Parts: sequence; C-alpha cells; structure tokens
Amino acid sequence: MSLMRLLARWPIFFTFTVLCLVAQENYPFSNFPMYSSFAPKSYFVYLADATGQPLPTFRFGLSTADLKKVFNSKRQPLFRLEKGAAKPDSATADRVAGAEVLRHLEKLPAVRRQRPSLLPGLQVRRVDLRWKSGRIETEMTTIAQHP
Amino acid sequence: MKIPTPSALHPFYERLFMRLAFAWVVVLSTPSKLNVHSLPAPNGVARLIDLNFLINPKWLGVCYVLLLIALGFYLARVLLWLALPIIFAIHVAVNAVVNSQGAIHHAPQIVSLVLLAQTAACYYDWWLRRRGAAIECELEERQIFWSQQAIAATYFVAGLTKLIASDGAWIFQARFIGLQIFKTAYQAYYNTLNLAGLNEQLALAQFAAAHGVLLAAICALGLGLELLAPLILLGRWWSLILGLCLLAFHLSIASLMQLAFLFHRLLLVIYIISPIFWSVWGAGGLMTLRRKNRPSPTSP
Repeated sequence: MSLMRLLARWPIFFTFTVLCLVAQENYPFSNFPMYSSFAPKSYFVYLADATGQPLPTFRFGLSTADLKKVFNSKRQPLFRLEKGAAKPDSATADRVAGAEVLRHLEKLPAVRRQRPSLLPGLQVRRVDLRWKSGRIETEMTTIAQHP
Repeated sequence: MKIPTPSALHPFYERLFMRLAFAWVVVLSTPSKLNVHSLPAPNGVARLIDLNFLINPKWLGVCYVLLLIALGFYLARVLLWLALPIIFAIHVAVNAVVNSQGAIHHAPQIVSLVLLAQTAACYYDWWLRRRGAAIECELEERQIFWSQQAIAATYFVAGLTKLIASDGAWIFQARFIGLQIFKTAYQAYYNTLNLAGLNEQLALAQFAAAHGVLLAAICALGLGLELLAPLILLGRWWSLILGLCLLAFHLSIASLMQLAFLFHRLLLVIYIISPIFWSVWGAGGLMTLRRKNRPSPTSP
C-alpha cells in the first residue's frame, strides 16, 4: 500500500499523530510525555501536619502525583530568568515553590470546607530519590510550613 | 481446519454496545464536581476561551445536564450533527479546566480525541452527501474506524515521544525505572496512608533498580507495542491480538506503577478488542461445527 493510499485510508491517524506531536500539552491534544525519559534521580512531595505526621493528600482533594505537578509548575518558572539575573539555588527555589503550594492549597474548595482547618503548621516535604549502584537512596527535607 | 475470516463490518448489536459503552466512558471521564478555585495555568482550549464560568457549580451542573441530554441523542443517533459537537465541547472544556491547575493529567485526552474523530466523521459524511459524492460506508462504520484511528494515534504518539524526548536512548534509560516504581509506590501510599502493598512495591522497585537490564528489556516490549499500535487498523484479527497485548501492557503498568489509565483500557475493550463481537462469532462458529459433526439421519 503506497503512502498516499495509506494517508487517504487512515486520515485521522495521521492528522492526530501530527497534531499531538506539534500541539504537545494543549488539551485535548497531548504528546503523552509521561515517562518519556528517565534519570538516575527523581523526587516526590507530600504533606505533613505540624507535628510531622504525614497527612493523606486525598483529604486536600488532590493526589500526591498532582501535588508534585503543582509544586513543579511553581518551581520551574523560577529558573526562567531574565538576562543578567542571578539563578536561584535549588534549596531557595524549593522554599519559594513550597510556599506557593501552600497558597494554592489554601484556596482549594476541599480544603476550605474542612473544620478544623488542615492548614496551621501544615508542612510541604520533599523526598529526593537517587539511584546509586543498583540501590535506591532517599533523603527527606521540609521545604515549607504554613504559619 | 480453515478459520473463517470475520466480517470487517460491525453488526447492530456490536454498534449498540459500542455506543452505550462509549457514552458511559464519556460520563465517567467528565467530572461533575471540580475542586478548583481558578485556572492558575490555563491549558489548551482554556488559553483560547475563558472557562472560568465552569468553576461555578451551577454552570458546571447546567453543562452536565446538557451533556447527558446530548448523550441521549447520541445513543438514539438523532441530530448527531448537533449532539456530537456539544458532547465534544463540554468534555473538552471541563477537562481543560482540570488540566489548567498546574498538573496535567493524561487520562481523558483519548476520550476527547475519539469524540473529535466521531464529530469529524459526522461532518465529513454530511459534506460528502452535500457534494453528491459516492458514500463508501455507513456513517457509524466510519465513526468506528476513525475512533480506532484516534486510539492508535495516541499510542503511536506516546511511543514516538519516548524516542524524541530521550534522543532515542529510552530503552537504555529504562534501567532507572525502579526509581519511578519507588516514587509511585510512595505517592500512592501518601494519597491515603494505606500501607497495603507498599512494602511489596518498594521491594519490587529495589529489585528493578538492581536488575536494570531485565527491566529495560521489558520496557522495550512496551515501546514496541506502542509503535506497532497502527497495526490494529489492519483488521479484526490484528485488533484482537494487539488490543489484548496493549491491555496486558496496561494491566502490568497498573500493578507496577499504580497508573490505571482506565479510559485507555475501556476504549481498547470497546473499540479494539470488542469482546461482544468475538463471543458471538465464536459461539456461531461452534454451532456450525456441531451441526457439521452431527450424524445425518439418513446415514446407516
């Protein structure tokens, strides 16, 4: 079957393939980049109360994976700098993004509905994962805390 | 014994099943309640159209009722030219709001794309009729085939993206997948603080970290399946075999990495594997075989 005949027979397949690759992450299109590359390090973020006890993320109306995506969306822009501006160090970027996550949580309807409030003393914690000679090592840091 | 070739056309009972099941998937993949306060990171159509009105539960409720009415028309195949764009617009708008929270989900896109394919098929059919051109196939047959093309495209794109994003080195990088299993195991635990299965997942992650080559080989199979997804468009047998392989691929990802991809799985079952067709076809074949083997009443 020639390419032209295939194009005529599978118009949606070819059109959607091109549109998804070009439009990338623009709903309803996506290039489906999840797990498209792997590195020997990764991390995740979770929430803990004032005493450091973990809190189920579902109580905030979102998943732990979403929490990381929100954190990442606040953190990444900090590294898009104007010419001549100093690059923030990783720990500072974490602190700023962590505080932004707390502000994001404050506004969520699922959080505002809860009594007593989940917010006082709420901690955002980051766990770094590293692949070292066939073993996974972890390191936890508290990056932000609600007053 | 020669195996008869199944018809490429879809009998009425199969089309009815597809319609009902797809309408159910549309309902499942359209949230009726949103836990959002604004659109802090507008995505896709939310960049083009102000969708803030959907944050108001009243407007969301109105859209949901409209969606259900339009799905009723879709099921009855009445006013499809109107019902399909409404279903597509509401599905895209609500999910664009969900994806505009700074966290992009990759679950509902496939449903939106199938809706877009069905809407396009509907308008293409209308255009052909208006031109007086020869209609090669019935509208619903075209909708099914274009839906299958949309599904194949999503898998193919996912495979291509892996090659593009990793500069072709995805299989070599896949030895680090143990880290991702470890991360998703903890993320699943922190969702609910339910310890069930956590230790097993962590042990599996450490095993994967220690046996990277084995994991890379398994991942290569998954990538191969994604890149071969267009073959599902070659006919019933290809659809069945590749559809079952893709479903098995999803089930293994779900158990390894807690990634459900529910809508992908459901659409594979509805449009690609089509168990209802194969059950009827298999039962029909068995009955024919029995009839042939039954001794004739005139034989001694």
